Amino acid sequence: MNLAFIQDFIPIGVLVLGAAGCSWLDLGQGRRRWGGDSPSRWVALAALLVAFLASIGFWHSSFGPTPPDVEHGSFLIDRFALFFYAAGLAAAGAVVICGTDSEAEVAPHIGVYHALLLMATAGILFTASAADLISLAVGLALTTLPLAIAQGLNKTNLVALRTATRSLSIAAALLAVFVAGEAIVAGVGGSTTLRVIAQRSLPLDPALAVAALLVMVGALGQLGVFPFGGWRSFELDRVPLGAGLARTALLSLAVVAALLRLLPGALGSVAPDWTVTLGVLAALTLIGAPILALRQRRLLGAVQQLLIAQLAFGLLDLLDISRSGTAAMLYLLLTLVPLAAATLALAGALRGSGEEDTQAALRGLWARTPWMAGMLAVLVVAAAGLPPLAGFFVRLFSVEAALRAGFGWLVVLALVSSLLGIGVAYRWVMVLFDARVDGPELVLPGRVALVGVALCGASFLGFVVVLGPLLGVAARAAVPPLFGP
Amino acid sequence: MPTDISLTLIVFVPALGALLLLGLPVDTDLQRFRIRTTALFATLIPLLIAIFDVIAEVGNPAQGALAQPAIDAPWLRHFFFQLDYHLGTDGLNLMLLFAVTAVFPALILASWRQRERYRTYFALVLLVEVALTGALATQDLLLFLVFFALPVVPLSVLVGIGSAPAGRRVLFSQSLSSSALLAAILIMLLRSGNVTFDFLSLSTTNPVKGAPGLIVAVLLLFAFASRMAVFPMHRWLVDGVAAAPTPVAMLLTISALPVGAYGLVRVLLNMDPLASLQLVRPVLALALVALFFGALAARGSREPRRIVGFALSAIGGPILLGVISFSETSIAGALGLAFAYFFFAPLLVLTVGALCDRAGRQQLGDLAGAAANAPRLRLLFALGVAGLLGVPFLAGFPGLFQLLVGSFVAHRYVSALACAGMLVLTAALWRLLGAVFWTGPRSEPQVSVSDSHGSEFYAGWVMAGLLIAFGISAGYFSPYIVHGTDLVAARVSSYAPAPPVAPKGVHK
Repeated sequence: MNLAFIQDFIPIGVLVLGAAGCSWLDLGQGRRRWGGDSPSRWVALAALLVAFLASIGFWHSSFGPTPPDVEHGSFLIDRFALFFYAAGLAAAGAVVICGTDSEAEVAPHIGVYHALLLMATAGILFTASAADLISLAVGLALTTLPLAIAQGLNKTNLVALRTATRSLSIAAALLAVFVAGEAIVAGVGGSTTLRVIAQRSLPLDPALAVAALLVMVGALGQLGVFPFGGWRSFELDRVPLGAGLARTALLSLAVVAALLRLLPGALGSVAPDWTVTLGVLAALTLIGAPILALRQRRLLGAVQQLLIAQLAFGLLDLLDISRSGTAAMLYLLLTLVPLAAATLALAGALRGSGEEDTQAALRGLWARTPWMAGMLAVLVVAAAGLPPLAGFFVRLFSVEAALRAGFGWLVVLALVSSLLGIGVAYRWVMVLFDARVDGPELVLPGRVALVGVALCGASFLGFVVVLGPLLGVAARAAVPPLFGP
Repeated sequence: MPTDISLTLIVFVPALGALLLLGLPVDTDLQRFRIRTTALFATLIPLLIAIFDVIAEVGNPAQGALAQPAIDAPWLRHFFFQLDYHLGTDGLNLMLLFAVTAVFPALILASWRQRERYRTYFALVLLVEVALTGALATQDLLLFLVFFALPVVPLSVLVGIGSAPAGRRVLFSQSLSSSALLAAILIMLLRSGNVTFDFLSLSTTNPVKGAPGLIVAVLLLFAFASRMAVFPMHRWLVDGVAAAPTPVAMLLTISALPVGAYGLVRVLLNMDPLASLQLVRPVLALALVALFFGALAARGSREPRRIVGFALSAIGGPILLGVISFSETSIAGALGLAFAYFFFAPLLVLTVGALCDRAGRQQLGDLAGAAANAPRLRLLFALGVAGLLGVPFLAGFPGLFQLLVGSFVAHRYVSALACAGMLVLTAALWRLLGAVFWTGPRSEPQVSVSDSHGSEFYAGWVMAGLLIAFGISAGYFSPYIVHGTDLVAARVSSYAPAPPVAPKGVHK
């Protein structure tokens, strides 16, 4: 029996092993040996690093002049998958590093928390490598469920537990909706293999439009796209911070990977069946998310909604079924991850100081803790997509993609959305730099989290400087049939 | 590929200064002094480099005709469009760029007594300088948009700290203005089929025709006129000048009109000449309305700060007139007036702000004769007014003179009306000058303010000195600006309808 294919699963296998190790540190033997201070953070980082090193071999072969894709039935490692391998592993690393200050919220289950993060990362890799509908659903479930479970790790807080239970139920229901959509696609397409569906010239079919709607709602609902945006903010206020924001950073990668494989990839030939629905979803979110952000009295909720609005801009990229459109979406993901991770670090430090993230608590923060105020201000401005930060270019590319796809009306909404986002950013900056208000000095993020914030900040600025090369890599990752049959 | 980094340094040294400032401690007087001096040095370095650039280029006026690329490096390729990191100077932008770098050290000096939010304040001021120099230096339309939109939040925050409603107004109007520019660029790019944003490439391709071209032109006009604070988009500037702390009000004025005027010439005329020709009459009407409204509002206002705000808003009228007259002379005049604006506008705001701040009053009636015993303040204000009204031997003169002469050829009645508007503006400012800066003949002054001194005095004299120096040396740099407008005027005239041919047998 030829077992050579096993080497192709090494990155995912390393993550699973790392997850087992982290869990072991929390349970039985491990907890007794290490006491309360679990080193699972370093085990998780080591697992991520080893997984990345293991994937480097694929990079050389896949990004060479003639990319030899690795394919085993429902498992495929191509440039697209490798892009998500790198992005997913880096995102998980950023979440682990930036979440160090929030680990206390999930104590004494820190090892399990890290194990669930690693499992979710393995899910991202699996989703990106999925070559058929079944592995897509499995990969998405592998990412969604561990992140939803991680939200319930604060077992001493009844409100958090209830919220996490509801989150898990919603996530499971949305997964079921996604699978139902996939089932219709398989029925109409006559196969579960994405490549086969893409190669069949399917006629325009109302059933496919319904399927696409179900797939989109099932996948994008997880990210808080309309009408699930309000729930995400509600949830984020109550569940452990690390788990809540990891969901934004990691799940967005898996969901986008799944949608790109499925919509422009498999269903590219019947684009009219799903682009209008996607456009409507994008429109509702483009307007809904910044309005919800405006209504937020908590900074974290406002940033979360701005990130959802940013994702809605990404949906405009999907409308343009071209290599450039896909590359723009991938670039958006790259910029979204450091934002979510930095939010995690700063919000963790706020909670660590015993301070809330409400307007009243943060008013005049510049006078008490100028560094914290500055970092929060940059975070909000970056999340609102103001120039010259990367978010601005993301929005520009998205608007261009929508115009090219013939959705000019969405551009007007995108402009309105940007204006609302600017209003949100302005309001919070004014709160932070308001007249001096006496109060306690806040604690800055811990050393490890601060390194994470610095890395996120540097990458967010660096992504602008290396805009061209990054988009070049993203464009090369957009392999056929991702941008049409 | 040119790789001269002088313009890069001019644009980004203030950004480095801002970053450095954020890391400096701010607890003691010495540390605060260090922050101020760091900010000052961060503005002096670009000035020194700009002086060398001006000396190297202005001596040869013919160089003004074509952008001298300092650096042109590919930034984004193989995408929907191409993007370059392209900075360069020509007759259209070099003097404006120099003026920005010259006025910012004076602005830092005027802010020397800043008491709160040291690091934030100076960092945001430096960020605005990056935005202004970047917008003027870039030769790429998308980069121009980035720098055009960059100062929106810093300015809103700085103004909003003094007055939240004024800050919100700045934010709203400037965000709208940037959005209009973005929308225009997108339509232009999509309709013209171009994949590059390079100014030179865009100015040599066929412009967008028909209704889309007209929409682009209207959006561009809105974006730039709004930045110039021309009626009816003037409220943000007037309220900002009235409500913000004096140095912030100075910053607000210099970030307003010049970039808008430059955008009109560089983007509207150059990229969309066909539609610009269709907009002549509406823009002429807008120019006159803006001038008369600003002048009459200044005449009717009872607050010195608002009088200055309205007067500065009114200047947008003549500049619109100069731009839409399409001749080398009138366009060069508009740019020359925008150049002078960098000196007289902050000077006026500084003097009036100092007066109101010291007196602690805002109403003209309460301030009658308040500065009668402050000769330096009076002289600085008078110089500012004279600069605005285009008195000879001051920097405002060559610009206004060229503008009126150039536009007179194309639109003689409108130009005559503009001259009348300038007279109304003169009357408004004369009223302020007479009421506040001289002893009232009817009654003794209710309040008396001390004269200009210290850093405020130096800041005022830097601007007044530049106003005089560039008024005297106008003959040295004006030909360079005029050459810069050659290509723009030629491009517009190439799309202008041919004059009607006289029928045979008819002799003039």
